[in-house]
Amino acid sequence: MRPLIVSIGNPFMRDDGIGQAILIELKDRGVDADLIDLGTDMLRLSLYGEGYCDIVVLDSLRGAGLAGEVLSFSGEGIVRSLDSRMRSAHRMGSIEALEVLRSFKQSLKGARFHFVGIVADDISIGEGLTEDVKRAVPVAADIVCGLLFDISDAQG
Amino acid sequence: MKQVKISRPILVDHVARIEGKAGIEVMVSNKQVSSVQMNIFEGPRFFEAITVGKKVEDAVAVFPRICSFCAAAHKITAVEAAEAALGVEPSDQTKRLRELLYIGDYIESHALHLFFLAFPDLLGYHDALSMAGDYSDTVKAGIALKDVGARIQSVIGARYIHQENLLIGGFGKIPGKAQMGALKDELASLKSASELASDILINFSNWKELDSPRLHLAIAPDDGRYTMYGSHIHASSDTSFPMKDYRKHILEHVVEHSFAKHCRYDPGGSKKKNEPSIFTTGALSRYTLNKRSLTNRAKERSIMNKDHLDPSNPLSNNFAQAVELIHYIDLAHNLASELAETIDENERPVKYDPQKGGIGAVATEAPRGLLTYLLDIDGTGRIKNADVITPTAMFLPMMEKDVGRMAQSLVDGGISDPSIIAPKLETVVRSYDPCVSCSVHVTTVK
Repeated sequence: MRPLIVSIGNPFMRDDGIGQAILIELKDRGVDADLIDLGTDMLRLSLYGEGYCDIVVLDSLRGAGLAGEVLSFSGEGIVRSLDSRMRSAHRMGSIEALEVLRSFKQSLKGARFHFVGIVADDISIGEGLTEDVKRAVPVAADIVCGLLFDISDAQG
Repeated sequence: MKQVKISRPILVDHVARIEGKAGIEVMVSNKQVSSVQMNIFEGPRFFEAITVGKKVEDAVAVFPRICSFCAAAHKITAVEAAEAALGVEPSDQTKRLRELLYIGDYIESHALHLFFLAFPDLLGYHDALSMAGDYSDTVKAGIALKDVGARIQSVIGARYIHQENLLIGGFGKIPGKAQMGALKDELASLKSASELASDILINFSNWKELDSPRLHLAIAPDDGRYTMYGSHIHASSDTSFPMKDYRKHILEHVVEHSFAKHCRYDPGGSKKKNEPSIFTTGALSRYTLNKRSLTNRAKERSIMNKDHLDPSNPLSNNFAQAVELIHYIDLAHNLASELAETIDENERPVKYDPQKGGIGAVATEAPRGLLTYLLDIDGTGRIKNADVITPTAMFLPMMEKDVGRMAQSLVDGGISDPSIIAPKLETVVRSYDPCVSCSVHVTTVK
């Protein structure tokens, strides 16, 4: 079964558009996966994630490493290593949303989750990624392609 | 004079990501709250600026990025401002589809706010996940309601986060009767779930210390239907004005402490007796001014719970949203049922000439309140000037007043610990369901 790759973020907030930039790079490479931009709401996976065995999340990161560093996590390592439990006035963090969906959406319970992100430099209103981050986008795409190979290999 | 500064950033979206750009600051001097400032970092100014010089069709695709949760609201209002400027009259079917699309936005937005943000506050949980263990049916209902709102937007808007199927003059692809039939069935199955939010809120009384009369503004329904559309904006002061004249009556001004402008209402004409007033807008304002037009089920629920819908208390906004959830599930079901029978899948968008140019000003009711757009299109079909006022910019001064009232009452009660005061102030802010440049997301590595 084809995996699902989703991006999170907003390209009009500079490096917050990391997820979309990786998604575009993967689209240009013609990867064998379904690609969806979820905007800034991970809960939307509730609607679009049904029926997938493997779901790859692309997002911007902070709090670890230097700007432009690419990090990837899989399985329980996502919840163990990542945090976005900001209870905002208007939405919830993506990892919290992911946990809620895994707990309550039968169709997502069996899915394997993977996370690939780039450490952001500048999250502010504006267009375009910063230079270090821009250079890291193909690297992140390479990592996703490796993941897709492993997923395909495991499926036989 | 000894000054105690209680300063704590509220966890609105960007606060945790763009430090120092937003938060609440309350100054207390001699046990009196001397100032309250909501430092807001809001995006519309940027979007207004970057759309100048763009083709109008490209510009209306950019505006939904102002807020990913109100993307449909921004897209529809921007498209309708462009249509007003270019003299385009969409078909009745287009209007009904847009209304259903907009309702999808409401259902998704209200479900998210009530079930995943407000309820953990009220029920005493850190977040939705920790609440889920004790309230699993509630969380499941919240997900189901949010899903149907998202599905409506996906079916009509095609890509539901940016609504790219929604065009000036109509829709690129009209959804089929079968899709509308499926929506109708899903909406019918969620009627009882739509009452769950008000069932929970019944158990929580408003905080009386926040009671204070206030001015409400909302769009007046033209045809007796409680929706997001109407030709006039009316106020609880018994004044009104044509929505296209919003710039004469909703006056924006810059404040030093915030990136967002603040708004005041000027009734104008013979009613202008005082200085322009601060006001509020949103579900509570719509309920207060338009409650006679609710669907029967929503009306019954509101009549039974008038204490929870006190127009002088901002916490009533939560219950007003819960009433709207019932109302909009019913309205969406009616619309989907009608469209499942009548929809013409071959209808094409109305043709128009973008080079005609012109100025169009439109106001609609977004989930969290009045949303206004003015687009000035030049003779080459490009944006010459854009003006967007979001609901948050409109109710921000009132929200600051309420935060001050709450802080003062806590200080009067002998509480001075910011760690006790701050969550209470956050609850007040959250009741407004503010949209504060929400379109950003970053994950933190532990």
